Amino acid sequence: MKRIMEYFKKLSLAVKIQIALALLCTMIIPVYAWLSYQDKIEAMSKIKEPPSINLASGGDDPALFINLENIDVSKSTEKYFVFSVEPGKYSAYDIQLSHTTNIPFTYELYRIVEVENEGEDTIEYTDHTRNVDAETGLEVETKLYYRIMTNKNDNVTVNGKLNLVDINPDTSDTRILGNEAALAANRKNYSASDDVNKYVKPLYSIVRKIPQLNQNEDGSKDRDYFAIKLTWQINSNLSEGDTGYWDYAANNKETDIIYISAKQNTYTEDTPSP
Amino acid sequence: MKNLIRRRRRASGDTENRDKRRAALLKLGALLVFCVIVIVIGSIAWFAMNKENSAGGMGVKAKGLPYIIETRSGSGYYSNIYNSLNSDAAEWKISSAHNFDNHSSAIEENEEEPALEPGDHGSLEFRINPINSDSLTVDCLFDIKAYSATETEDEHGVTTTTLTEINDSSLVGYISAHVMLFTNYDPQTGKYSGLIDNDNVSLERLLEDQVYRKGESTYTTIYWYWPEHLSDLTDRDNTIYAPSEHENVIDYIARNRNGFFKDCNDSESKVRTDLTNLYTTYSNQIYNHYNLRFDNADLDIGNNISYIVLSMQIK
Repeated sequence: MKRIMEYFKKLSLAVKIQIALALLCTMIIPVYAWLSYQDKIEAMSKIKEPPSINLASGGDDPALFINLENIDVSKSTEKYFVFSVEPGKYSAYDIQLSHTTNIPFTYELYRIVEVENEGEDTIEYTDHTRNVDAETGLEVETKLYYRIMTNKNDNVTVNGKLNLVDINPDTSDTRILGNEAALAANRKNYSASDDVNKYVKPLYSIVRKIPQLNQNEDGSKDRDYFAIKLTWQINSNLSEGDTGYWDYAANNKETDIIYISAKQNTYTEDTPSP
Repeated sequence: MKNLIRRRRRASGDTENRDKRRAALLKLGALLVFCVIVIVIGSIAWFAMNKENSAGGMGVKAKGLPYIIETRSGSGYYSNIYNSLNSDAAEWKISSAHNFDNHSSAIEENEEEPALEPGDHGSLEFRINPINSDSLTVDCLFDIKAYSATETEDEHGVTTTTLTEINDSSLVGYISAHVMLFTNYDPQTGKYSGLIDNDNVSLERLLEDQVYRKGESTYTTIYWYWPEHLSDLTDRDNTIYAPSEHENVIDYIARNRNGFFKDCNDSESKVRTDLTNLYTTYSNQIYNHYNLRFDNADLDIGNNISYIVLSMQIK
């Protein structure tokens, strides 16, 4: 005993602490083992944060492929553009279109569903990401076809057409162009005397509380598909300076910019949307 | 004179020795007191954990729990964080086939860690091994606790996660309701049955009168399911549960409507009638009314709760 004590005394402080800790641990482990011997068990897991709402293009394409170019107004009087919304867990959302009004297009919004084959009433979309070439491993373009969901009716949809409400229509103008006066003064994009941008008045239109398609009615797991339908009229008898010239589309007219935005709107009747 | 000096020296040496011995004794005494404290605390822990104690004569007779809860062998992915809770329960051990989305194999594509979200489902296992008798009948009570996490980073860049239990009864209600528990799953039909609930207590899940035999090797499996959409519970053609379970589930939702739906002001009977109607005839208006609130509850869960703990307690 004496020898052990002497040996212990000779040890450095660090080693003494280590020995004390080792002894303490030997005591704690059996006590801990006792504690585990009891009447309750627990499993812990993490909760994932809900995904945010996303805009995407048609097919499986990301938003990068949303494309509204190449409109030749002389060849037809309408054109469809496909895009989609990934609503995630948001059961309802708003879609807002805001666009400049250089060209007298009429904007309409439809719910669409992918169909297998091309038909008279189908809307074509070229997908860039769905299929991969087996040999090269590269993504290949695939033609996809959509049809308006004409049997879809709800609070904001009639026969597949969404009730797009203009926020600032220019009621004094038959073309329902944007009315700058209806916007707050500090939100004016251009001064009134700017001739070049005379008709560039952004028009804001919105559909509120579009319900997420449950049961994957549109055939997709996580996307709701939409098409913007642009329609226009042409009148080749009129030339610049004639009355009503600006009411008709012509290929020499300016560019328009369209913004599409989506925002969650899951407010209930009790807590209405702001 | 010389002798006197020598004697004095010896005397002062003696005093030094005595002081040293006294100090050593004091240290030894302190060590002994410490050991006694440790043993006493250990013993208290031991006795406190025993369900039944009885005193007879001079001694204290301790009777251990009449069973051992046995689970699988793997530790959960979050066992470190779990251990930091210092819970009075044991960790529910898991396997790759039976877990709470807390096994490393549960990490999905584009995910860093395994995590639960609406649409997830799985199973957990446990068994009770009676010690003193051949068979034992027990009630198993299931409960969910929710935690919010704060992450702090020290000067070395090491992140520590601190959990705080969420006491907001609505939030805890949402997660308790949305993670549903069943006792059976039919792999043929892909449908669940045997909803675990308690008719008398809101959101309590109680599995009554479970009989376990000594040395039996079969585990009790419970199936957990967090439905993705309300239609998983209300649309006859797409339910996660077997048709025989329909009335049970609708009744459970109606009784626990404040857990399933956020801001639900409808009466229990209205919810029951509406969802029963919805089961056979789809109505856009009715579905959206409830689905909105169902999804909003899910969003509240996802935005506010970081971790959850599912417990099973023997009653």
